[in-house]
Amino acid sequence: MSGQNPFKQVEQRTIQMINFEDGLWDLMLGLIFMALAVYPLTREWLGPEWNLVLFLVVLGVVIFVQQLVRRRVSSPRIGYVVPRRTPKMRLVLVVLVLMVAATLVLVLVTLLQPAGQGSSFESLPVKPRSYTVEYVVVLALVALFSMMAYLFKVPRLYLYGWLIGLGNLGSVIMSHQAGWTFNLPLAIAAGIILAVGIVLLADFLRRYPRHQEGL
Amino acid sequence: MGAETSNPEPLRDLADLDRVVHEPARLMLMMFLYNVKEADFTFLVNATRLTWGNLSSHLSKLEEAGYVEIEKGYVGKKPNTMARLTDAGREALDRYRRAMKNVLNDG
Repeated sequence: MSGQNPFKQVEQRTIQMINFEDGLWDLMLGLIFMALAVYPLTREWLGPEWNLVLFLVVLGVVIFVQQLVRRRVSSPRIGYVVPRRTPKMRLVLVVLVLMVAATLVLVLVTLLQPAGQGSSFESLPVKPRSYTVEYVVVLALVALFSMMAYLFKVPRLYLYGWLIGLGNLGSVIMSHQAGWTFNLPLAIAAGIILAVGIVLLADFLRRYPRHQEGL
Repeated sequence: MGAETSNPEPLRDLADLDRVVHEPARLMLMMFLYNVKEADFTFLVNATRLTWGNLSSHLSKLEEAGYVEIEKGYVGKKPNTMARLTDAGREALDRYRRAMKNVLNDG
């Protein structure tokens, strides 16, 4: 870090302060993947279509609440910033949004595949199954989070990529091999991310007390 | 001082450095403002770890030089002051970067 261009350091510090310092991003991510972890359970109760509707509603609510809490709790403490949208930043943003959307779709596709044992297909012989798609999803997730970690210099995102990638793979394997309807590995990964988010938020609230200008 | 005319380019750059920008606290403030469209005093205090008094005094100097615009307003019922780098401020910082690169480039 010390040999790095100070202008780049300041740019990265600004991005970290605006987006990652308060732990709200981590909490949002943890909640989204926790919703994906219980996805097969709610699908059994609601059916595939309504379950997808429920997931999209949960996704919308989580994003809305995160923005609201950021505006009400986080911004008054860390300060208000209007980001500068340079062409480079716009490109990074578009690539990130596309990659996150693609990853969510891939994760959903892998989780939506019917289970092997313990499902309605229990009476059918279990065909040997390759996990190529799931391996690709793991690599995509690790690549996405590693890119974010590298660009924004937030090392915990490297861990998140592996946690979610392996959690997703573990869930699919357990679903097919043991007929689990609850994605426990993904829930554990999401739980760890949620715990990190809570610790970061508590630390943020302690380090940045609410104060009025000039006091 | 008589040797000034025969100074090599990097030394002339050093002598021509903008002293408003060169002061460390002001340079830090300008670098943070360079990366955003605008930011309020609270953000700048948190980012730079300057005291409110120091921040206010340095921003006033930058405002006098025409490098920063300051706008007082409210968020809800609370007073809030936003600062933004002007085009002249952006140019001054770019000039300063180029000059420092020339001065420190010993390759």
